Amino acid sequence: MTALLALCLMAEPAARQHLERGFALAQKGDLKGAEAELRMAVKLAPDDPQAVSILGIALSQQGKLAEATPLLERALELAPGDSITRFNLAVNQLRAGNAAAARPNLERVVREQPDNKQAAALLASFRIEGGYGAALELYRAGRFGDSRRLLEKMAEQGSRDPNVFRLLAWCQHREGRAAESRAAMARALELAPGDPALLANAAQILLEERQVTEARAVVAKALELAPGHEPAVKLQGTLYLGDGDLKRALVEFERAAKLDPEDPEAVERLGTVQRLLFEYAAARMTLERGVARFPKFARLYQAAAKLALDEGVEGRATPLFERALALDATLADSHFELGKLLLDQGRAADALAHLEAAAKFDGSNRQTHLALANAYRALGRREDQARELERYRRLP
Amino acid sequence: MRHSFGLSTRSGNITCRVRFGCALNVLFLLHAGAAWGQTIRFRDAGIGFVLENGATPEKHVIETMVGGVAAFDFDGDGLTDIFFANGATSPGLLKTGEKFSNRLFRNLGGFRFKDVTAEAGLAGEGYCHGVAAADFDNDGRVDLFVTGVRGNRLYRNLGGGRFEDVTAKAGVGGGLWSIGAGWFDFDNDGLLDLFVANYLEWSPDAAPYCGDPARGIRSYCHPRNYRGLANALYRNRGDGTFEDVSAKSGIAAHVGKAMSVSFADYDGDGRMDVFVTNDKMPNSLFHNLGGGKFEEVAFELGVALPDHGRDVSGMGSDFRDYDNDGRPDIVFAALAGETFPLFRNAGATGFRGWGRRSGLDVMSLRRSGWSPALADLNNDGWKDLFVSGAHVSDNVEMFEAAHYKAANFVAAGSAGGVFHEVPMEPELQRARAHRGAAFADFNNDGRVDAVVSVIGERAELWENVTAGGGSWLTLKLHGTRSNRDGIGAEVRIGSQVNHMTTSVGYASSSHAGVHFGLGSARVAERVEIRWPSGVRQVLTNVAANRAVDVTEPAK
Repeated sequence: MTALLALCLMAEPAARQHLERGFALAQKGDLKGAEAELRMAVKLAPDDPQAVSILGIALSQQGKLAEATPLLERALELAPGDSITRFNLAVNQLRAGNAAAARPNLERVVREQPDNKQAAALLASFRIEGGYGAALELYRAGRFGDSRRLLEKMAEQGSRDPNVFRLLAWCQHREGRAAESRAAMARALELAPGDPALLANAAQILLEERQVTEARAVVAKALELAPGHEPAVKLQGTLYLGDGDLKRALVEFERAAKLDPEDPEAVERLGTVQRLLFEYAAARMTLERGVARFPKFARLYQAAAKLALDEGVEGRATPLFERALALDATLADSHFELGKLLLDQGRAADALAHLEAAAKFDGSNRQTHLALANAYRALGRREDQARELERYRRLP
Repeated sequence: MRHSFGLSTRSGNITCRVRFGCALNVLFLLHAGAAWGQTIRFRDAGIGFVLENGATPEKHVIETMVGGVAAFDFDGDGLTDIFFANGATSPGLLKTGEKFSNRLFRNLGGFRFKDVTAEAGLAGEGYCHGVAAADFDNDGRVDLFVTGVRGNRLYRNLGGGRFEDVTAKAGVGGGLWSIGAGWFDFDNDGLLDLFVANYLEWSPDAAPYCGDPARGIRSYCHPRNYRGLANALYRNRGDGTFEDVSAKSGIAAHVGKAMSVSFADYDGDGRMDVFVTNDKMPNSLFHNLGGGKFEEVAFELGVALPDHGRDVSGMGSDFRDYDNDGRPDIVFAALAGETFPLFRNAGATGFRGWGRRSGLDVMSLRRSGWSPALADLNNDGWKDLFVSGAHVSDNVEMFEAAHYKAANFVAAGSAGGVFHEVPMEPELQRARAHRGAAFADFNNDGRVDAVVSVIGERAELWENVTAGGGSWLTLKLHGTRSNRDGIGAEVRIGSQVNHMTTSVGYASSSHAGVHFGLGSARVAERVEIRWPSGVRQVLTNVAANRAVDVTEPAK
């Protein structure tokens, strides 16, 4: 079989070229570009398990879970011993909420590849916490409700893992269940009092809910406990940003980037505040270096796209936002900005999909509901406009 | 030089004040635009007024909000004069000396002005912020309404260069802190009514410490530190008194932090609507329903906030058609990082944010401004944008990349509603604490000039010296059934629409007729006027390059 496949590919050098290009693009984080190349490769060599598998992975990473599943299953039919494909199928199944199907696949991967730490960890999380790993994957796939239900079950079963409650708080926050989210985070902090990482998470949620005074107190506490805690330093910068004190925000983000050079978010924040200070050249350099170093960190592309918008280069902004979304389809800001760009171009119907996605991934952002109202207004959908305005008005 | 003669029209007589070549016998098609360059040039003629805000280390917020200016012809001599509203001691609110006096300057011609404040009786009282000029009593003389902290004043123009304070009789003194104000005839009864834009609940006894106490840097407080106020609407009874209809009109139901007010009939129903900018709060758009009622529709029509959805510091505004599609658009100034938002009127679907499409977002993102105006500065047929520049906070440099003192901003309008920034000569790029601005053709040469107040420095008087600009036409309207100033009248020449309003910019007022740039045309073939009374008037073959007095016909 393997020999036959090799012959087949040798007979299709064009397919090989598309496969190589697709693989290289996927490695760089350009999943959309990779998808196009890989589709060509699969079209030319439909029985090449590698091409089919990599296309499935690229689709899965873009959140196209339903489309990815049959491709990964097909790849396994073509190469049943391919543990990497099986692992990716399991992750895809988890994200799609099918933990029952994922579990035997993970077990088989661990059996066949005992050194696959990711698979082992995922499987272990199944065993230890009855599905924390699955919940995490569901969260990452933007399926906050499914993730929450799993976590709530774990909480009911008496879990004492603060991470379960932390993740539960995030799910509830993403679903707009502010009070429940607070309760879950409070429980997490009860289980791990004084954990600066948890405090930083709590502050982040409070900030996103525009509870600035409380967030400020939580950040202060985290910094008191651990003055060099990088996430707390970053949050302090974010608070200064919210106060309009951009210069002090810059200092904090520079510090955060030094405290943890491996944190792409610190780089992204630094670039963002440089942009807001109109230091466009510095911002460009920060973000370009960031992208080169962390090519799969979606928010760096998003920040670069916003910089392009501020500089008036709309043509450069759009593909950057698209790239950000290809890497992380849950980036509400990128959906929001793309939606606004489309609205600007008079393409209200096209804008709706992005704005609705933005609302889905960050229901607490009132600006999204205002933009949605504007899109519906442009389409003459008065009732929908009124509904979105009502949502806008209700949000803090 | 003024010549008057009759010119046959379909429905009325007009009088021509000849300024430049009243060539009635030459007919050209009205063609505006492309042939005329984007160059707009000014020189600062200067005027001897220094805006005093009584600044204190406590940084009472009233101190930074000063500076209204009015351009109006108080003595009817055909030359536009200038009034400056001035501050007082802070927080005492007293005009303790001449430096705090409001000032009236009579235009002597040739950009020479004489201070006639004392003779006019307009020195004023208290801490003043804004001014609104119009002939509220239809006697042919332009009156003044001056806003301020804890009370406003109405000055009736008696003629002979004298004004009388008629606030008490009129019943428009208020008592809150008002900044913007404007005259319009909301019920089209021929009498100008008064809209007063109230800002914040402020008291010197409850001045919070804002800024960074750790560094000992005190700043002017953000408006979020204060409660907002409802605006006021006064209906003119026609006997020198006004009825406060704020509540029954629906206006008082909406609390804001209003900085400016501007008027236009955005939906073409013949009734003037009201746009109000609020400081770090959504704007208000009051749709005039008729019957003395207003409905607030800013969110419904998309002008409450810029497209990014964040509150901005809504400063001065202008509300008129800028892209020659016949529908009034809205522009207002804001602070660095917020852009100067522009809303294009899209008709039935409301307004659309047009900052990106017009180029204004990118041009204005780093700027802070106060007093904008849409006026055709080079007479090419496309309205241009002038914005006086400065930030609110005089130590903003300690916190942001913005600068307190800034240059004024000029952008040339062009086909498709796109703006292009116009670089000014170095002497006009001076960074100063600019505030209010008014716009008029002070030397009657057909080019719109600007006067800008500056805190602590001599005001700027920008003489428009644009060379090779287009033809122009300014209509000076005289209502008969409508209000005497014709405020609210809509004028259409070709694809251009403008309307008579004096409510332009920040806390300021420009009583200077309805100006059109005509590009290469020497004649406006057809001038259509829709008066507030509903009367429609058509003038034909009106020669360009002159100011024309137009009287409203009986029918």
